[in-house]
Amino acid sequence: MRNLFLLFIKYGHIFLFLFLEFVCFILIVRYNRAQNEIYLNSANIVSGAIYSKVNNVSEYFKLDEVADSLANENARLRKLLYNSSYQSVTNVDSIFNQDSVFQYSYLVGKVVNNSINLNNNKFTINKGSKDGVKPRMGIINSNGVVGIIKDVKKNYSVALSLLNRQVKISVSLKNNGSFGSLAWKGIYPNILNLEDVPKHSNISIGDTVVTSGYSSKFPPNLMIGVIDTFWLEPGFNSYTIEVDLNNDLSRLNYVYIIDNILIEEQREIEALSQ
Amino acid sequence: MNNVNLKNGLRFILLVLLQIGVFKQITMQMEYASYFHLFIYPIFIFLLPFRYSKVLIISLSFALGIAIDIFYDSIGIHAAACVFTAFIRPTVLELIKPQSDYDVLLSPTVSNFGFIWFVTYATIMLFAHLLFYFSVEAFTFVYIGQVLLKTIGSFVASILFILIYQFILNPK
Repeated sequence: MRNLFLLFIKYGHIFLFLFLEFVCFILIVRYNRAQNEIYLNSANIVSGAIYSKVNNVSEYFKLDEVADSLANENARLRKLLYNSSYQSVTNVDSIFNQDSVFQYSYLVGKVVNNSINLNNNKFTINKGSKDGVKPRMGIINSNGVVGIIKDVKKNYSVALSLLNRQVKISVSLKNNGSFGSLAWKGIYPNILNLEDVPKHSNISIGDTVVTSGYSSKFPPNLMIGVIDTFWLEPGFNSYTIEVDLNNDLSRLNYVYIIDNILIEEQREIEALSQ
Repeated sequence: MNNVNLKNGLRFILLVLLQIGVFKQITMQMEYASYFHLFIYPIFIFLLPFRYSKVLIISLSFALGIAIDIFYDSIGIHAAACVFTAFIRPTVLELIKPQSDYDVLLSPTVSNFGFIWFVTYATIMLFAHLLFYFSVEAFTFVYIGQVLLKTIGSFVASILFILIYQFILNPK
């Protein structure tokens, strides 16, 4: 206490000086218009700069949320795309009827575990039965087909990646419509084999391979890749085609799980006719 | 003792009246007035006796500044400059200390310490005062060139009157 008192005696004039300058500053800003405007402006500049810095930082922490909402929005928009709806009324006398019901709905999931260098690759998605995921649903992302759901638990589901020997996907060539099935031979993570394309079909390197829509898992015309090389093995009636995958399966993040609403009906009728 | 207080009190009133009654009016009549402000009132701070404490000097200067501000319609600006000038006064005095130390009973005037010493003292103090005043008036660093011009112009004009004041009313 005594030291504090001595300190004040010794340096009191400095405290008084600072205090009075502060009082003057307040008075100047309070009672002088020109200085007040400068003060308010620079205060705004300073606080504006600080606020934008703070915003930058807090936005970074919100990125996760933003990405989630964007992915949800994408799913909603995909639902509205033409090839996800099923024409409920067929064309009658060339009058095109716009009535349609949604055949495919999309569910956003995040890949939480992934592999590409095993013989049979799988990945895990953070959506499960509580979100409506069922086995055999197709999975795509913005670059095309990714895989097919295999096992479903309450919160998570495991999917077979395209890089899995058990997976066969019905595909067609975009330019001439000839179709075949796509399978992985297990060597390169970006090369898949297209089988059963008959040798009379006219194909060339660079042709686009898309989903055929026959499989009930995927809507038609989803991009898969382009033809890398092809040749005709002696004694075979179909080409051996290597397809360069459009997707990079090593970098999966957000994926869409496709729910084909009419799938039960299709399976029922197909089972009936067997 | 009483005599010194009374003298400084009278000087306070005289300088405020001179400043607002005469020098403010002259400045307002001049053509290039914005570069040649006439400030005589800082001499009150220069001439305060040595025996006054730093705290008292700063307080008196603040009062002087506010008094001037009331008439200049610039509350706080002159006061800020006065407080600053009062604050640096001991440092300046220490800087230009003559061979023989200051006599605590005296005041820093021409008659006590000579013309050259007083001109040095008044120059440093007035220049600091004006520079601080115009900086606060501008309130931004954007017009630093103009602030310097105003300081130099006003300094040349004001130091003349301050020296004249010292010679006319030489407080012996």
